[in-house]
Amino acid sequence: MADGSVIRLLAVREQPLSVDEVLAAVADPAAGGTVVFIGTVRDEDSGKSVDALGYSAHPTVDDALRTVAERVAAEHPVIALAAVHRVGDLVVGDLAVVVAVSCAHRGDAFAAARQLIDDLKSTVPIWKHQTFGDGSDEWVGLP
Amino acid sequence: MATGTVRFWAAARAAAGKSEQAYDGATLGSVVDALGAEHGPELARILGHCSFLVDGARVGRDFQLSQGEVIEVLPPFAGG
Repeated sequence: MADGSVIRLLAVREQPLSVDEVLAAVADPAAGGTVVFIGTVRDEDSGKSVDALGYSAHPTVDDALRTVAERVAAEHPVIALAAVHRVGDLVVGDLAVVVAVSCAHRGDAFAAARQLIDDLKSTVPIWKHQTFGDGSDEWVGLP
Repeated sequence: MATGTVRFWAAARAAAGKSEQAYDGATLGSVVDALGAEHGPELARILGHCSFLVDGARVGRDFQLSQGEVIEVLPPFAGG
């Protein structure tokens, strides 16, 4: 987890996520701007009501998340960053992912946080399975 | 020809109805095609969108398999 670098907290876990934990992880006296992104389970997708949602991850998920974090830290003037993702069975309103980046200035913090969540979504091996109110289901991301 | 283990993840696991099985083939592409033929159109469709790891490294269809390797079938990621 924390290793003394700018990467303060990375985790993929079954327990409910805490925004406070993530914000505390990126707190730093040198930070002038902190951006946090919170992804939550939505009650609707593609016009259908969502009843339940399950996330699962590949065993290499921690390494992949670290690779994403290291790239963000290398490409932006980041003071501290953190990213946590939940796996298991979630319900509408649950936090699925929380990422935060602190920088000296807000512009860098916005850009770095944007890259952190976008790269996490596209390259970290996590899968999402949705069950709808009409009994149908789908694996998100499969055309 | 080489034999080894195929490990299915997420949508591919659901479509195959199992988490792993044995394979017998020379290249990744030949094994993937055989899996689609064996399990039917739904898995074949999913396989068209998957990436593949062989012993942990991402490889393409032309990859020449060696004896005892593990192929992992990874559907598109959808975190967040």
